[in-house]
Amino acid sequence: MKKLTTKVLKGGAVLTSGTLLSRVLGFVREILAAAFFGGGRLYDAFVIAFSVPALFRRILGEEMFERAFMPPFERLRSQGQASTARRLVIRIFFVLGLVLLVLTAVLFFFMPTLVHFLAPGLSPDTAREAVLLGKQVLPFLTLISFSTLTGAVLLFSDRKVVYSTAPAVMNVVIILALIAFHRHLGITALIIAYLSGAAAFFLFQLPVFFRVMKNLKEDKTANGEDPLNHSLKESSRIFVTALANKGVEIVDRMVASLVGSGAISSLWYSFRIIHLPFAIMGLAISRSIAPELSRLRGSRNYRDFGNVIHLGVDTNLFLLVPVTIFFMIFSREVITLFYFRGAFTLTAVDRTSLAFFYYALAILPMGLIALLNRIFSAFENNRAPMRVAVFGACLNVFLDFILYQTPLKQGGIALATAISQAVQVLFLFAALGRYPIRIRLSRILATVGQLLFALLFFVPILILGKFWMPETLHFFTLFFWLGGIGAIAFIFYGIVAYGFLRSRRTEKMKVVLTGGGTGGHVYPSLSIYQILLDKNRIYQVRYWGIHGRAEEEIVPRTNIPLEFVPAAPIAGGSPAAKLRSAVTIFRGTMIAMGKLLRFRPHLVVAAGGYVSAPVVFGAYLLKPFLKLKIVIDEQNLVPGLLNKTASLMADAVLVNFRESAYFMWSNRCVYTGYPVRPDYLKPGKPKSDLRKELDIPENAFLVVVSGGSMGARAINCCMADAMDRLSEMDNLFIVHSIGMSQTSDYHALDDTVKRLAASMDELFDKTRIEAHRKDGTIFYRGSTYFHDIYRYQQAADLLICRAGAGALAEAMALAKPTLLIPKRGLPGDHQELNAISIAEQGAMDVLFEEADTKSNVDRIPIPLFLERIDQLMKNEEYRKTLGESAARLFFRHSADRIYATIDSVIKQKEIEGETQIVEPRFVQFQRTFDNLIRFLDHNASKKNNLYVRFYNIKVHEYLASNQPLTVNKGIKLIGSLKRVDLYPFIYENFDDFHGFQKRNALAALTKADQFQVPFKNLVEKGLRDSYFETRREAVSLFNCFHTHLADDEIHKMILNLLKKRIESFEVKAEAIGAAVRILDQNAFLKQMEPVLFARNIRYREALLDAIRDGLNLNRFENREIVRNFLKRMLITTSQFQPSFTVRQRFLTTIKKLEETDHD
Amino acid sequence: MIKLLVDALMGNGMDIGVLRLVNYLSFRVIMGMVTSLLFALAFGFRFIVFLYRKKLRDVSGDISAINAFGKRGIPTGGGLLVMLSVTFSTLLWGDLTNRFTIVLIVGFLYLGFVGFVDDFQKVRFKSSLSGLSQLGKTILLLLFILPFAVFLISGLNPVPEPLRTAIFIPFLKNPVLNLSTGFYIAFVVFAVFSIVNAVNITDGLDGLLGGTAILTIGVYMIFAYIIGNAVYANYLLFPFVAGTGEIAVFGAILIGALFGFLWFNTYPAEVFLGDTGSLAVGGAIAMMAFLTKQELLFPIVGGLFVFEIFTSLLQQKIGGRLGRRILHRAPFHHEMTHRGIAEPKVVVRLIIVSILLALIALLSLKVR
Repeated sequence: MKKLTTKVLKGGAVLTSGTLLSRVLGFVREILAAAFFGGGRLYDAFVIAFSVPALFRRILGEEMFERAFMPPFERLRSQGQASTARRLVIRIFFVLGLVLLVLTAVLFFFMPTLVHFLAPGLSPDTAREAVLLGKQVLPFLTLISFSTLTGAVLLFSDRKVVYSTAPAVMNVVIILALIAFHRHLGITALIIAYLSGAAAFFLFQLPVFFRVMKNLKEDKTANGEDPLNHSLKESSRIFVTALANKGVEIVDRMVASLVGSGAISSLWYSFRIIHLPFAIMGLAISRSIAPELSRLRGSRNYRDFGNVIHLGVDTNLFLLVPVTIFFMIFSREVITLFYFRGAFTLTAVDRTSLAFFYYALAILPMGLIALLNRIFSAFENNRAPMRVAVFGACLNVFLDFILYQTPLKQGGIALATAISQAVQVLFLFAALGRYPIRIRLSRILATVGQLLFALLFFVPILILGKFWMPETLHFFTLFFWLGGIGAIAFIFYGIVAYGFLRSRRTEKMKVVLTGGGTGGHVYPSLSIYQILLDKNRIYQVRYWGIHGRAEEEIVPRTNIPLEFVPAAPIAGGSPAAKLRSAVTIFRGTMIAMGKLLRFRPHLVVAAGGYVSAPVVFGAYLLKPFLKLKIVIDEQNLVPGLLNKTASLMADAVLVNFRESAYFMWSNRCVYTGYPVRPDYLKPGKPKSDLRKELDIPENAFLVVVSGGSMGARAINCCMADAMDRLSEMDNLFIVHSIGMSQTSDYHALDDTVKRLAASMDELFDKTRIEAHRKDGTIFYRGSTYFHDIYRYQQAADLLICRAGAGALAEAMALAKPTLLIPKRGLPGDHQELNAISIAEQGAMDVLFEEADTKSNVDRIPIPLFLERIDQLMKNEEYRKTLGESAARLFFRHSADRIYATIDSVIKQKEIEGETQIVEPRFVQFQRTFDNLIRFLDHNASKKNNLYVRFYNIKVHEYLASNQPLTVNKGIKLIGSLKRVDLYPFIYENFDDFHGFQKRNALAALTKADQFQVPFKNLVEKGLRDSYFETRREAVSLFNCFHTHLADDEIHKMILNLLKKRIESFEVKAEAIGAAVRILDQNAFLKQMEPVLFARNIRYREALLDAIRDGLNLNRFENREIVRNFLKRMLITTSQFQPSFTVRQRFLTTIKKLEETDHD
Repeated sequence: MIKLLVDALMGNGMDIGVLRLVNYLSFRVIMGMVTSLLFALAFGFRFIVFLYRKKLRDVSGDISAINAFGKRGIPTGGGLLVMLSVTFSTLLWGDLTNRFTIVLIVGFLYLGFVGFVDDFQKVRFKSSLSGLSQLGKTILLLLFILPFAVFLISGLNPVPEPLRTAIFIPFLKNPVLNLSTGFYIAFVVFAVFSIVNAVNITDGLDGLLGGTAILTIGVYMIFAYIIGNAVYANYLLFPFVAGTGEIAVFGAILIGALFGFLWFNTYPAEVFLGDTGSLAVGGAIAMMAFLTKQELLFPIVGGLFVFEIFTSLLQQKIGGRLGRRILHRAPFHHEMTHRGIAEPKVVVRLIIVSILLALIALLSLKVR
């Protein structure tokens, strides 16, 4: 897991390690300077003289180059316009050189004025000193400016090492020079040291800089606009901001010069110390957060944006507040420790520690300002910071002039800085309100609370330490005391604070989404992404799909980077095609592995479809090497082969239907329902408003037709062909999403438009895809794809859609009455059976497609379609119940369940897999077809039963098959459904049937309600058949219609069967039943004499059944004789039916318990 | 293990009279049988509860599928109990340095494992249709059968060279057929595969496989005992193969375990053998047949198994192709229940048939 906190801190540390070194060295430099030159008049002069070059360095280096000039440079470079980039740098060089030349000249001539202006309170000889030093230090300005520019170029050319070590080099040179020359040259040594340092700085970077410039040779792409102008404009704002921010120091000095001798240097020295923690922490935080912010800004991930800001603020508070407190409590000790030696006198210590005490207050605001400025620049808004900075500067100056007159003196100036900085922070926060970022005050207050709590472990230690600490000026004693107290306090504080910071750590993931082919596979993975995003768990995301399918259309709209991995479906096609697919999958797996190694995701979300298979395979193979988890989302009730295989590799399988768990090979299925798009869960606007927005008549009956993202051919054809009839329905308004399908086989839009034009003539507007009635009112609007179809659906009175998982869930989420038109001929007929199972619960209406015998395209019977529409339109009560039932069925906690599951997977916790696996009813029916037949036998009369309706359509398909077993099913269905119209199929083909089919055909006919003449022929044929089961069924058919078949020939044949020595007992047993219908009492009993003692009890059972039948049919004149006859029967048995008593009681008890459960 | 221990003790001069018993084959045969039987009896019920808890039940644990008349939800994989018991007892009483013992126990456990995979898949994937595919099962079986065939013809086999690829024909004194190596391997593969499948298919009624397998194994045990005993072998004109007696020990142990299993498995069954047991037992029978060089005795002693698979193939392969049934039901034990004979009755009748076949097979010991 990426821990953002650690990442930020670590990133900052790495990035600023060089800077840190240079800061520390710079601090050493200051310590040395303090020791050599003290904190008095002389150093005041130097600080004033040095102000201008220092100011320029800060403004140019930290602000302008890096923020204004370098971004376009970077952009050009990465876009391949190397030569333009190079030209840009050179031009900046020239402009800079020109500006510097003019500036140097001006400064040279106006130095006295400047010094007077900067330090009005300076004594005349100090001022003279300052002028002299100022003139001497002027080359430093040029050198440092150029080296800042080269440094910036290096930074943005990924030469960070050189960039960050160069300042350190400079400081080393300065320190060495100071040590070497301070004895002999006095203050001039300082000038020499700085100049040689700056030269070293410049020279150190130069070789690498030239190499970089040399590499920037040729433009690879065409040149666009000139970037320099834009940069100059942008830079002016940054310049002003920086000037306002940094210039305050100068103003401070100006005012300080009024305070008295040594005040300027006291501010300078104390500021140097303040700068250290601020530089290390504040700068580090904002530097490493800034790229994060730009990235988030790019992805418009505002929620995360807010979180990053909060994190930055929290870190600032937790790190800088204790430092502030430490500095304030030990202000004098710190100053003594750092500066009290050599020329630095005790009075200087007093002066400096006063300023330091108040400056410490500014640490936190400074850190926050740095952070907030970064946020604004991430939004490419430099104006607000500029205004705030200017305002802050004014405030600062104003306060300076008030506060320096108070006893605080230079402390007052420091305080003014702190106050104005704090005010700026508030203003900047207020200015953030313009952006859609949620900064929660409550969270900041919570942080403050936690901080105060943590400080309880910090401040008392410091106070105690201060109390016990001996009064000393000795360096080592001070060092150990301060260090010891600080270390103890910070350790205690650190433990508590770390606990707090850790508690808010969000574990963020890099996520790969995959799956696609159709919108039905793309949307679920996007929904899961959205769920994770809402819970703030996304760090980075990629979508891997294939070319030319729905994902290419949908994903780019979401700002998720889309990449392609080859994939192919394995089902169907010739062996050669299968082999090709296998090769493609293999290739895809390899590519996916490469991508996975590069991206190193923590989570792979595969939303089904063959598209996701290579990625899942690759991820599984890499699982031992990368810490990743695989989650599969299966929307369909019946998963395909690839998904079943992939499920074995997944850490969790999210299923949309409970029954899917039955098919999945994995045991880690979790029922989550379908993650519908959040749009569908939001309460919609009032219908009337929506309709107004969508330009739909308010009182019209709105039907929204959608066949999925790619479109449904049968639905489109049906709509188009029925359009003229639909136009006659009053008050109807149709919105039709035609679909994006553009295969060679079917171009959805063209075909539909053609058909519409054919059926509507001039009433159809081809360009706008609108149709109107004869009176001119528009009643039909089509489009290849409505991106906001949910709004139409929310406004609709009736939805028409496919029975795919997504469409079903969306319709249920909207709680709208829906007419499902399931797609025919899918694996296991799952759409149709889906539709049935939902319609069985009274939640939707269904219309089945029919196979077209002429073409292989399915069609919807238009009269039935119109009838359904008409019925739904008129019956408002029915629509209402449909909608209510749909809402009841919808699983609303999908998002929570999905999140919980993924979270458990990531945390390697046990997931609650689906354990109660229910074999879906239709699977029962399909697996043992006889179950279905039995069901249909009982329900055939219910014409509205969905299974009856469905199989009434299906039977044609079965009969048309060339698979004997499938035809067999068809024959069984003919019987169960009592399809008299299909009996001729049996009559005509009976001779060609093989054994099972003949048997089933005869069995099917026994279910007929009425005798048909051809039965007689079939019975005769069946009795003659060589297959015993056919003979049995023939006798059984005779038994059913024995009155119609009272034919001597048949009677004789059946009785012959009884007499045959070698005959299946099944046939004979059935024939015993027939005998009672054929023979009179005496003949029957005579014939049955041997059966009384038959070894096989099936005969005896058959005899008993036959006698009961005979009684029902009144075949016996004298019951007494029959009774006496039967009394002789052998009633020993080899068969019995067990009843397991424990099970019996178990079941009754369970049933009882379940009853009380419902009460 | 006990044998090894005793050997070690005696080799070091600890010649105690009671210990010498262990070196008698008959003692170990009986002790092995008793041990495995007692093991199975002692842990049987606890094991059934364990299987039930682990949801290793026949097809599904769904309450709605249970009725008072059927057998759904009864724990399957009882073969594990047999395997455990056999392993325990063999480790105790078997001669672990004997190659026959090693081959038998390894093959037995491997086939049990294959069966367990099958059972486990059926249970895990919630349907009797979702076990190992025919192809997968075949491959897994071949992974054992091929090495076994190679073992039979290799120098590792204690059977002397000319006899290795020879085939005895029951009721004939001398081996008649001497196959070439390739043919012999093909024959082994075919025969072992068929035997395993035949035994597997017979496992359909409560106690049926247990009862019939005990008889078959018993016959082979007697053959092994005789061949491994120089005196008897000489007397009955069998080629003496040293160490074959250990096959008898293994057979006895398996018989004991099966008796212990039958205790629970007899009608109405509290646990099913499952593929775990039927494949392991089938494999053991096949291995014993080949290791004792009595391959062609199997059609007699295991005539019931042969008949069962014959009826099953007839119905499935030929009937399926013709599009009609040839028998009313297949395999044969289902035909019998279909004819109105209750399950326990069918089992007892078939066991009686097996006894008959076993007696005929034993006749071939002397009538040659």
